[in-house]
Amino acid sequence: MNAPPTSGLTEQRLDWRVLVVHTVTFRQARAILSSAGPIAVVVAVQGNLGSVGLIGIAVAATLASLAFSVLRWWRFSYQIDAQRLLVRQGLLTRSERAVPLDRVRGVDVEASALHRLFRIAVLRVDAAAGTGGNDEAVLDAVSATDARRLRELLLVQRAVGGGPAVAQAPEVAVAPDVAAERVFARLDPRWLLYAPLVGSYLAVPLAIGGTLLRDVGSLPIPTGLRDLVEIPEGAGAGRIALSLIGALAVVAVGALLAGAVANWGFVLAARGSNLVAERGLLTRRTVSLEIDRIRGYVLSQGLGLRLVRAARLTALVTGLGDQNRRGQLLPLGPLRVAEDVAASAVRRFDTPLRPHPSAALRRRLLRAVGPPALIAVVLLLVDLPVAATVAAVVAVAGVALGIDRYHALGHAADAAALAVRSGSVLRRRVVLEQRALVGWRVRQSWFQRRAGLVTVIACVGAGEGGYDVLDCGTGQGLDLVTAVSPGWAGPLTTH
Amino acid sequence: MTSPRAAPRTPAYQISRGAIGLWTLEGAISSLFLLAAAIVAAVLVPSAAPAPLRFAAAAAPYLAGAYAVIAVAIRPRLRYRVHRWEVTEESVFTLTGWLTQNWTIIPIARIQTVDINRGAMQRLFGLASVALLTASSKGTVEIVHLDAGLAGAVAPDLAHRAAAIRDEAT
Repeated sequence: MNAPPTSGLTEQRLDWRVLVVHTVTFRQARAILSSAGPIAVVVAVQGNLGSVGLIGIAVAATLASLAFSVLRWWRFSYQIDAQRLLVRQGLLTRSERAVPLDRVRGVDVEASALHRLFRIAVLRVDAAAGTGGNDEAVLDAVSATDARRLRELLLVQRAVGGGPAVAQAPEVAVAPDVAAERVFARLDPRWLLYAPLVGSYLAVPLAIGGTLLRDVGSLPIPTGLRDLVEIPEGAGAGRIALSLIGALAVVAVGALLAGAVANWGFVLAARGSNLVAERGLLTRRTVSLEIDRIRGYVLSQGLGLRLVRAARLTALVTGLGDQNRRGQLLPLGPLRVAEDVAASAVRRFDTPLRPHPSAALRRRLLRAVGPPALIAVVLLLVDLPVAATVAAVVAVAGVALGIDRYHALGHAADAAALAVRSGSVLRRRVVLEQRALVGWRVRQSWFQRRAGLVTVIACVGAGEGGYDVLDCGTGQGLDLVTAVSPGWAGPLTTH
Repeated sequence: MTSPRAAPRTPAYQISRGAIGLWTLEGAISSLFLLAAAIVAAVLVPSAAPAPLRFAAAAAPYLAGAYAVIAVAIRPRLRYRVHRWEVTEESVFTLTGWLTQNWTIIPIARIQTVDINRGAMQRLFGLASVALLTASSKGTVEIVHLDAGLAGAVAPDLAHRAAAIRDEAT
């Protein structure tokens, strides 16, 4: 304990095994080789170099990649002292980045399949910069044990405000409170069956499929398989239906795989003063969130997830970049489980939501039905009956959409938080802590004024910056504001 | 419980009357440019052009004239009437907008930065705007076109009070 404050971690290099990873992935050499590569290929083809020449080029490129990797590794060092993390790098232009430990917002550990093979991991230190933005220091890569140790060290130091504990070197930093772990959620593999109902997972097989279909003519696919994929001309309805079902099944399985790759083994647990989420089948990612900075959560359900009563859960954290990805508390799961996780990991909110006045229903209906109905009329006038029919069908479907959107609307406040719900195609329930509020905005258009409605916007320094209470009654909205912020928001209502 | 027809309160103060002059000048300048463009269009469109185009070109100067009347004679006064602001013990409160009205209230404790902006045109009329930034991109308040002297008194006072009671819980 009496050691001088500078005797924390000595200056350290990254783990040497990263050289292998960076060489084979051309991490540093990529920029240079991407311009030199095509030239080399042209030379090889034009000069009739043959296989020996090609191998020569491949070897030269690999050696170049190795050289770049070694140079970077040699000139990269990091150090943690009592106050900060220091990262020095650069071959000719030396740069030195100092991240004050009390500014560390989160420490993420990420390891791709290749990194895991060599038991190393990338450490990402996220810090609030003095300018209000975010700053990041990346250590690519340290050994897996060091990654764990450094993460605990950085997070513990942040918690104690960079005290003298650093002087005791990393081993001690794996403090007793780290052992105290409470698991909030564990992904049940069966929940991955929800993945085909989520747009972002569906997009993966669709994107791959799109690329494949474009090049399907030039791909060396065996004829047997080709017959299976291609629909012969003049095929019957049964054959087409079969192909469609097959395509849907392939897309569904693809989405399931995408969901599994991203979320396999998802675990959310509290460790010390942090919530730690770990996940990933190939690339394993560990994200930590400071519990003191969590200000609420968003429970979101796309249309597909609503049908099967499933949901996703995201935390609202102040000063966290890339909130949607990093703030995930449950990537997929039954609604009941998501609600339980929200209640135990963030806060319980049981007050039933107040519905909005029926004038809001009229507005939702007008918004959903109006535009397609108008388009249908215009199309009829210019004599396009088929297109007009399509627009008319959309308008009729708009009735259901409008009603559903109205039923989604609701808000409530309890002693310390407020909840807002809205949306049909994407339904979201947002719960925000009172202390997160940095302002209120009440918006009223001319039409809303006539209907006695307002849109109240709760302004917060987390997530999207503000959450709308859409079309609530004017009195309801003002009641909400005064109930949540009775002190400073008083002038909005009191005369 | 407030009654269902209740409306948010209107903040106490109006902005500087100088704003009317500034907006009138701005309206006049934009009107001149618009008129010039409309006249050029009316002159340049050949008589052989299709009928709708000729009609539009002929109507353009009149439309620009109508815009000029609104921008110079009507809009500045209307705008002046719909901008209101107030600083209370704990918060800053503004109201802007005519067809769509926006009431914004932020607690002084959560103000992160206080800016005074004085554009070249504003200086001409002795005006200044005060912008108050919080941690939320949607929780920003701007009180436009105050008397420069008043802005110079309000801004430091807010900055001082914000620093004294700053609440970092955001």
